[in-house]
Parts: sequence; C-alpha cells; structure tokens
Amino acid sequence: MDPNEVTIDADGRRASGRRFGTLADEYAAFGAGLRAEWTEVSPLPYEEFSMPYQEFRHALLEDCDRLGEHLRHSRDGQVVMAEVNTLAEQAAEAGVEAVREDRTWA
Amino acid sequence: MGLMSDPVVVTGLGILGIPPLPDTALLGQHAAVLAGAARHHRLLLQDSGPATRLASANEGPAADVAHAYLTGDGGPQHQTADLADRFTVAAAGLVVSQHLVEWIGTLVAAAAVAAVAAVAFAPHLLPRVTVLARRYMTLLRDALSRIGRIFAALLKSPQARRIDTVAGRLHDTWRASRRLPGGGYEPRIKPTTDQAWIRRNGTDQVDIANTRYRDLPADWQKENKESATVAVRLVSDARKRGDDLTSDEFMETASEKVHVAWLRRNGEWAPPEQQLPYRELSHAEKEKDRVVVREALDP
Repeated sequence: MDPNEVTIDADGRRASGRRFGTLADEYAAFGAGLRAEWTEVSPLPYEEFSMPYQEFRHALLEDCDRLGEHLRHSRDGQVVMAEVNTLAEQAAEAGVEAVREDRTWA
Repeated sequence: MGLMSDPVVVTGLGILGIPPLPDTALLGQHAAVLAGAARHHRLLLQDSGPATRLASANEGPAADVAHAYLTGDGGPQHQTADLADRFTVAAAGLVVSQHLVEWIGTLVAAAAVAAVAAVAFAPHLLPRVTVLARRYMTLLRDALSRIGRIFAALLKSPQARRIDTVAGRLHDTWRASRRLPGGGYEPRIKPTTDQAWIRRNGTDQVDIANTRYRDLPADWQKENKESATVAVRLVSDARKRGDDLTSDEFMETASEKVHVAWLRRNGEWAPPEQQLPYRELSHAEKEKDRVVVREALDP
C-alpha cells in the first residue's frame, strides 16, 4: 500500500468500537465471576505446590484485569478514531465545497 | 478422600506417622474453573478477530498503528491467546495433580492397612512397610514440586518466556561443541554463588556443560539471559515497526546493538579483539553477535 494512501471508514471504526465495548463488558462480567469461583484457598496443603500456585493465581487475575483494560482501550480508541475520521471527512467535504464554490465564482 | 477416613487406614497412618492425604475435590473444582476460563478466552479470541476486521477498510498510517495495537505483541488478541494457553496448561496441571494424589493415596492407604496387619501379626515387617509408605510420600511431593514449577513458569509474561527460550538456545549452542560421542558433554565445572541453587543441590560446584539452561544457577544463566533480553526486545520492536526482519540491514543493525550491550556488561575484562566497535570486529566475532539475533528470530 502507498504509505500516503488514506482510506477513512468511520462507520466501520464505530462498529468495531461498539463490538469491542460489548466484548469489554462481557469480559468484565467474566472477570468478576472468575474471582468469585477461583477461591484463594489452595487445593493442596503442600507448600511446594501451593506457593507457586497462589502466585500463579494472583498473576493470572492481574493479567485478566490488564486484558479487560486493553479491551476498554480498544473500544475507546476505535470510538475516538471514528470521531476524528468523521471530522476529517467533514473537513475534506468542506474543502471540496470551497473549491467548487471558488470555481463557480471564478 | 473417603479412603483416608476409613478407621483401619486412619489407625495405620497413625502407626506410620504419615498425615492423611488431602481431599482432592477442591483440585477438581479449581480445574473446572480454569478449564472454563480457558474456554472463555478461546471464544474471546474468536470474537475479537471480527471486531478488529470491522474497521479493516480504514487505510493509512494511523489505521496501521491502530491495527498494530490490536493485533501485535502485547495487544488484546495476543494477550487473550496467551491467557487461553496458560489457563489450559494450569487446568491440565490440576487434573494431573488430582490423579496423582488419588493414586498415591491408594498406595499409602494400602501401606496403612499393611501396617495395622504387621503390628498384629508380623511386627518385624513394620519397618519395611514404613519405608515403603515414606517412599510413596516422597514420590508425591517430588511430583507436586515439578507441577509447582510449571505454575511458576506460567507466571512469566510471554516476553519473559521468550527470553528464557532464546537464552536456553544460546546455552545449547555454546555446549554443542562439547558434545561427546557417547552422549553428554565434556564437563565444565564452575563455582556458583546462587544460594538457593546451593541449598537445593548441596554443593556450590556446577557442571555448566551438562546442565540444562533452566537448571543452571542464576549467575550462570545471567549472561545468556542478558543477551537474549536485548535480542528479543530488538526483534519485538522491529516487528512492531514493520521492519523487514529477513534483511541483512536488520541483522547487522541488531547484531551491532547486541555487541554494544555485551561490551557494556563485559568491557572490563573483554580481550582487545572484542573491545572494538562492531564494524571493526573480525567475521568470527561478528558471527557471535549474529547468532544471538538469529536465535531471537527463530520461531
């Protein structure tokens, strides 16, 4: 692709943002359920197992939180880009109109 | 575990001085939760693809950056796939642990019954039964310790795991020239100051040639880990920028950075022929840096 070539599809961007929003909401619900179900009590009392297992549980729950944040950022990013794209389209249209008017008056 | 509450088994365990093995129901519950979490992440991975593609008609530098964020290393898709894998492995680890505890539990219960019988009819056999029961317990604890190490490995981020893989390859590349025809490697004994390793192994001497990277003490992992860290980051950053990773230009630029980082760490003792800027190194010396980059590029 030519690096200077720009195609704007604000509707697609907006739809993507909505979809990521749904995924983020579903994931938040999943995360809350996981925290409730995956109890802190170690399933075995032996420390060579329970210590790394507890650390693993803690790290994975944190990673799940991080993924939830990423999904929300993805939604927000797509929405912001859709708005910027729409503004860019409007600015481009205004520019084209101005050129047309100039030609008409010329 | 019902077996462990049987009165004869309880008595036998008391004679053997072994505590009853735990109930495995909680292991099963945790395994089910983690298997469910793995499934959820695999579904999420399927759904996030179309969510990304909805915006795929957009083209241009900003669209490329947004796409790289969504699909690149550390992006939500990559994270989702990684979590799906880790939940899957962890669930499998719990299922294996459950079977293991149940299997050893049966053996220990049998030994407990034998201990009761020995006390009643053949007391001279009790020491042998006790040794056998303790051996079962050692087997269980060793196996659980190995599963614990799998959980410890799953703690690491994908990048940290990648660094370990590349560092392991660098160690294997180094020891390949010491391989002996009959198997194993020509020994290279070195002292270590890694106290945890010394405690585990009962010595401060390590044969670094005949030890796998992951079993080396931290001080003998350090250099390969540092080199791997530099190379993995260079490859990851270049991939994000969309650089051509197969080009000679990338290989030489990355190798130069690996060399600079190596000199920063080892410049004090490095021989004169290695204390040169990368471009002035001999072909053989340059090749040492290229090997690090090549290992980081290998999938």
